[in-house]
Amino acid sequence: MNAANPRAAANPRAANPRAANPRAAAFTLGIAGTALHAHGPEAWIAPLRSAWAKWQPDPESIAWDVHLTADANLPAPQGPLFEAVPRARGGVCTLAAPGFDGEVSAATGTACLRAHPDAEPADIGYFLRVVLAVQAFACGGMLFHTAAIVHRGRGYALFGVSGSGKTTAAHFSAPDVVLNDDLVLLWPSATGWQMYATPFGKRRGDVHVASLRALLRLIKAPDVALVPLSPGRALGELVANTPVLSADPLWLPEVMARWEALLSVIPAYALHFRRDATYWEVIDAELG
Amino acid sequence: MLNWDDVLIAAPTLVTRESEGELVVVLPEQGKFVVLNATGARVLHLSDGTRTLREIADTLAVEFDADQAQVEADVLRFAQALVERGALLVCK
Repeated sequence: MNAANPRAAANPRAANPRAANPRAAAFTLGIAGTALHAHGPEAWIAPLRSAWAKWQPDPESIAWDVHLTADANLPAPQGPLFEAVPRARGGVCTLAAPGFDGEVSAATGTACLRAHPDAEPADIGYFLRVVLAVQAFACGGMLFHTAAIVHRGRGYALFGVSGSGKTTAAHFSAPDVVLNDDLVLLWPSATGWQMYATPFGKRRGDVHVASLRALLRLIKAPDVALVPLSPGRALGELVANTPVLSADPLWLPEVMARWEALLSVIPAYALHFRRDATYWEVIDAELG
Repeated sequence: MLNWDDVLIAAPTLVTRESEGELVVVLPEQGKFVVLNATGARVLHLSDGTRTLREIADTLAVEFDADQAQVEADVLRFAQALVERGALLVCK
């Protein structure tokens, strides 16, 4: 942080969110057609700006403002913001926990987070992830819990509930590129749907985007198999893996409609797999 | 455990969508979903807070022109599963 900002090194209190008037900073996170312009205390902004420098916005993207404020009147955080569950109602998403009070409005395209000065940059990163989920949806895309692997130039989304094996599947897919092992941004294009890498998870390789070829619901099993999912099952599984948005009854009908549109052009399967790379042989035979 | 005089109603926050003969039921507060076939979907639709479970079974037996005992078993199983998942509530 200090290396990125010599002034902070000279006067660390000025950049500290605990200071009465912490120095403000800003950066913009851009993925596909989304852009989040975050501004707040430099101690929170600088590490994210450095770590996420590769995610620059498209010049034509319309940025949402994200206001980050240090508020010492809030109680001290009792844990990472990651443990808080986003609540969505009526197009407004809130994220609240001891030491944190955040809100994202799809109607106004703005987001605000008040956080105790002891909050970590990782907490701010999690809030930005929630904001991205809302903005991406408002712009025609969707954030999706999946391990996104680029195999033979095509993108495969391996998804499932926590513990279904996303990280394991990504591991056994080496040396294939992993756009992200937990979260990608789906974005429509003239030729189908694209998967964009996000900074929210582990990656392998330096590829940032791939065309989506198939959706694969992971199921641990002794024998490898690729079984088509029924349309209803596929829709339910995908909605359940759509972070933030699936919590709001107002957003859900449109979320389901968007997944149905995607499923009309992208096939969905149950991938029965075991702890080796043999599932790619089955995928290549069926989909390659 | 449900009984035949129970009156059921769909949870107010349920979101449903029909998809090629299946009904996808999402429970937004729980982040869970259920996929229902035609019988299950009909049980859900008839659970409007006015009918007892027995009345729902009688209605389905007529609509599907099916064996009454089999329909009752199916209705009870579906209703129980939907109550356990929070998709259906028992009216007090």
